[in-house]
Amino acid sequence: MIPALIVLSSAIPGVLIFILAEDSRTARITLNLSGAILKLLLIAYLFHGVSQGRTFDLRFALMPGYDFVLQANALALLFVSLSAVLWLLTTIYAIGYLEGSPNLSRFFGFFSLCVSATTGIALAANPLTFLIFYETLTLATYPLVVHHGDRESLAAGRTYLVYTLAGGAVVFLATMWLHSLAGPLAFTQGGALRATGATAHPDQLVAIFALFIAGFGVKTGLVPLHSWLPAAMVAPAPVSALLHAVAVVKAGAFGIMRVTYEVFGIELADDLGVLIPLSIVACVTIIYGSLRALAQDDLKKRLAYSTVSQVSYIVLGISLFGPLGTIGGLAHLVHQGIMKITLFFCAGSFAETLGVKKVSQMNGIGRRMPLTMIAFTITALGMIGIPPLVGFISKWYLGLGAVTALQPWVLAVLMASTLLNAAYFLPIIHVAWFRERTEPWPVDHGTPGVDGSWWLLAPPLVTAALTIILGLLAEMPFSVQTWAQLIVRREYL
Amino acid sequence: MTAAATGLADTQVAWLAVINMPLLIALGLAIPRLWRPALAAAPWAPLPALIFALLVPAGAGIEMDWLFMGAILDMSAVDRVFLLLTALVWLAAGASVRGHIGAGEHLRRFSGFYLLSMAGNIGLILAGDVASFYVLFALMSYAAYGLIVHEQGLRAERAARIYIGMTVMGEVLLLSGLILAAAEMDGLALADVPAAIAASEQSAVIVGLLLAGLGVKAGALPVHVWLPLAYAAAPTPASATLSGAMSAAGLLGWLVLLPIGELELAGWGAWGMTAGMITAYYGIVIGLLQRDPKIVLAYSSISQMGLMTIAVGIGLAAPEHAPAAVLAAAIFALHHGLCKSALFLGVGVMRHRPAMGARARALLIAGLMLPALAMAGLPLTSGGVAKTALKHAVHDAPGAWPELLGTLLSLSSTGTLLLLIHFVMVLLQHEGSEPEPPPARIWIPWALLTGSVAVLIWLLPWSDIPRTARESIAVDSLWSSLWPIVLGISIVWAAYRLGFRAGLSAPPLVPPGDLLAPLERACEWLRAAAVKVIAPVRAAAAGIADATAAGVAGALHSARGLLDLERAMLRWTTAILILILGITILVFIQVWQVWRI
Repeated sequence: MIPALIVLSSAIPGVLIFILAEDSRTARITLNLSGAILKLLLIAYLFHGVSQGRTFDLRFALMPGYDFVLQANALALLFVSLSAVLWLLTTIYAIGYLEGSPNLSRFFGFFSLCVSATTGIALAANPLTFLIFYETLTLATYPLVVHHGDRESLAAGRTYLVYTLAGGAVVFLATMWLHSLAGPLAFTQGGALRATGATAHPDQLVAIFALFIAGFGVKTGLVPLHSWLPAAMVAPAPVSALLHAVAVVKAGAFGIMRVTYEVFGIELADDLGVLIPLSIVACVTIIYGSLRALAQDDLKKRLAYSTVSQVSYIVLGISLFGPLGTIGGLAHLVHQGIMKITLFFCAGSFAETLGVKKVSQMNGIGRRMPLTMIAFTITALGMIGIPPLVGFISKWYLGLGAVTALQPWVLAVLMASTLLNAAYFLPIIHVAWFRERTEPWPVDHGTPGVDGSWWLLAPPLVTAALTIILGLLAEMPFSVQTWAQLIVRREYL
Repeated sequence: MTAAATGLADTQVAWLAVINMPLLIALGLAIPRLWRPALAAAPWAPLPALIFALLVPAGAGIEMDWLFMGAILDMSAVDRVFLLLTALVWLAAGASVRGHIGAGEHLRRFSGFYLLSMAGNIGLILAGDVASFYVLFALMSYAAYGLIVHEQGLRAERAARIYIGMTVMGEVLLLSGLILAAAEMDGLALADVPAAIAASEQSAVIVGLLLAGLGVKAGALPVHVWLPLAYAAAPTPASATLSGAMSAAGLLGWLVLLPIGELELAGWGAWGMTAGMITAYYGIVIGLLQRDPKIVLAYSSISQMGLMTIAVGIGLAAPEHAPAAVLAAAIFALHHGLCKSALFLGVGVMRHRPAMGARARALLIAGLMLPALAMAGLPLTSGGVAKTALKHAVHDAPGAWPELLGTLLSLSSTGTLLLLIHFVMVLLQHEGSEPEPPPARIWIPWALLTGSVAVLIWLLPWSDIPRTARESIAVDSLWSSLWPIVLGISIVWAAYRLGFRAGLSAPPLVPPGDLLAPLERACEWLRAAAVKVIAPVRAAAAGIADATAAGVAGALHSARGLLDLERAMLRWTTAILILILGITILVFIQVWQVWRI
């Protein structure tokens, strides 16, 4: 029952918020925050259970032969806890960012549905259930992307829909093909296909895998399916933050994870020879995204291309056969989320407080908004992979994974990406801290030296602190890396 | 060993305090209420490290599973020499910070980066596992950016940009080497790295990566180009620590990580000896062409680092003689670090020249000549001992290397002396900019450091240092140390008699950063070429796009009805697409079910 409660803890407040009048601010905030906190408590309970080896599930039949199943296992919890923690923080941020502007009931309603869909994706225990939530996510996110309602937003929204619906259709196709080949499957640790007769048709399996990657690759932002992602950054900052860190891109990456580890099984995938092409796609995306990020002056656009690049680290980790690469990929699912959400929070605060939207306008911003810029600096350094921040932990395991998987060229790609990351993040840090401000800010709400509202400031500070703590204490039982090791022990049978 | 020392060596808190003292003070600087006391405490931050180096015996260590990737801290005999050097240099330079930086926000910011960098530098010496070493090395390197860029302006920004570019590249190479080594290891203990590299099939690649990655910090050719710019752009205390302590960290990395004594790597060994020798002379020649005292010193550092590279090369080429080579490198690092930071601090004192009397000036020049002569290998100074250790190491080199290196080594001492006399001359031609006499916090640290060049090496009872020190003043070795100095002084005297004067008016024959200038021009040329290629392509593409758009617009305009349809289609594109997808899916399911039956 608990998995269902976790999904409902944001879905029900979401529906209630739709009904609320536009001006009932307190009720809306209460609903939002209580839902988010309840979800966290439920997840804490699950964590305890799952680490003891228990699983929790909920199952009912949709139609004969098709079950709707939610199940909390170790892999699901990794994603569900990421989304729950970051949802709470993003809600707080969104309240500070948007309160006072129109259409908030619509916004927060869809916002909650979006997170419900994400948790559903995390907890789905078979391809059908996964697909239901996957499509729900697409639809729940669209109103958020076009929230401003201007031309640019609508155009971005259209691009978003065309890409993601087409991607969803391809995933659907792959699921059905798989179903026809192997019958009903549930996500199984070690791979569901191993026990079926489908392994007799390797050609079809390769085609199905390719379809899955192509379908999920849209949301993941794999080149050349990534173009919607930089366009969608016209959305309000909290939406971009959620989109880039938790909801949409991660849903795609998580889909690839489920399919590779729990449908095909990593060993079957290795036997089929699909992992190396996947590595190549991931590496191309990593380099391409970074190169494009270099050329962007618009801060959010630079961050968006950085997402394209960084999310593929996760795919790269999946594609490296061996426990170390997997740990890197799993850990980066969470690490990238924590870091990227911080960067988008900060970018939003700069735009909201000072009207600063471009890197070229950021001279001296460190002195004007010191705490926000500290959070930005820490996480940007983390993104580059500077130790002891979390990004380094990911990079370390990915690098080790590449070497142990006998793909040392991947190490070279990782290092090239590090250089490129440094090339587009360090100049921002430099101008923010070491250039003097000579002209006035585009707009200026608030007092010099003060960062502005705590609603906007607290969330990035928390995530920046996590960037340090989860890296510095990577061997502690509560760290992402430790949990990733637990998952790996269960996936490599 | 005293009880107190045992206690120190066994407590986690003591080890952490050594590394974290600077970090805690830096944290204090960030807190509005605490920053004044923190600023007052900042110069004393390396004190725990100094006490540690003096009291705790070599071989002590401690493990902390809970920290990072399972941290190990330990101190070997070599580590202890580097820790002593590092603590002394940071202490002396730190004491002078307030005299050089002024007050207020700038002092606070500089001190913050200074402390972070110091924590990294001290910590990486004690690090006993790969991850901690890399973290602390990175902390030192990245924080030093704030020191180099401190004075802002074009010169500092360019120096800092080139520094950070080279640093990130160095980190990337270092990390690649560490990952390749770690893939062969159980656990991450630093002590296991050389053996793991020796056992690896790619040992030559790993050694190359580590040599290059750490070489950036050590100023090895050809990744040395950042060094003259950064030393010149950074404020004096930062130049002193960069040259005295941080470059030694690159050398320490080589000594700790490379499979010295584990594996005979003839190729890399020969490379080390050859490149080291070339670097030693290259630094001297380019340095003699420079007109800025700090840049001259930077080239002297590059040259001296070449001599240390020779020791590393010998260690790689002749594993059986590795301990002598490692000891030579460590003593040399200690000697060079003390001399070079004393000289940099001396540049700071020299800025107060207009307010000094004749006797003070004479003392100052004498004080600058002491490290200069020491670096030329004057017996009784640290340099005499260091050169003796290096000669012992060279003696053990394989093949015909000993004869060749022996002669070249002695001649390089002459070159070093010439370069440093050039430095003093250039320095004297610069009018000091400070009208008041040097405050105590500027000249006392300088004087103490200068004194330590003569004294310190005789006081160290560690491993083979006393024996080497005694040998350095043995009568039969005296002449071999003295003749390069005599030769150097004769050359200077002859040149002076012939009317040769160092001119300041002309710009330096080789721009600071030597290889950098053609490199930057090449980059600029490449960029221009790329633009030349891309621009027409882009223009053509834009032209085609415009023409197409105009054509479409024209066609649409001519048929109003079509235009309306187009608008409607645009509006409904999404809906229609969804519909089509839906139908496709339904059809697919039908077909599939039929096919299945």
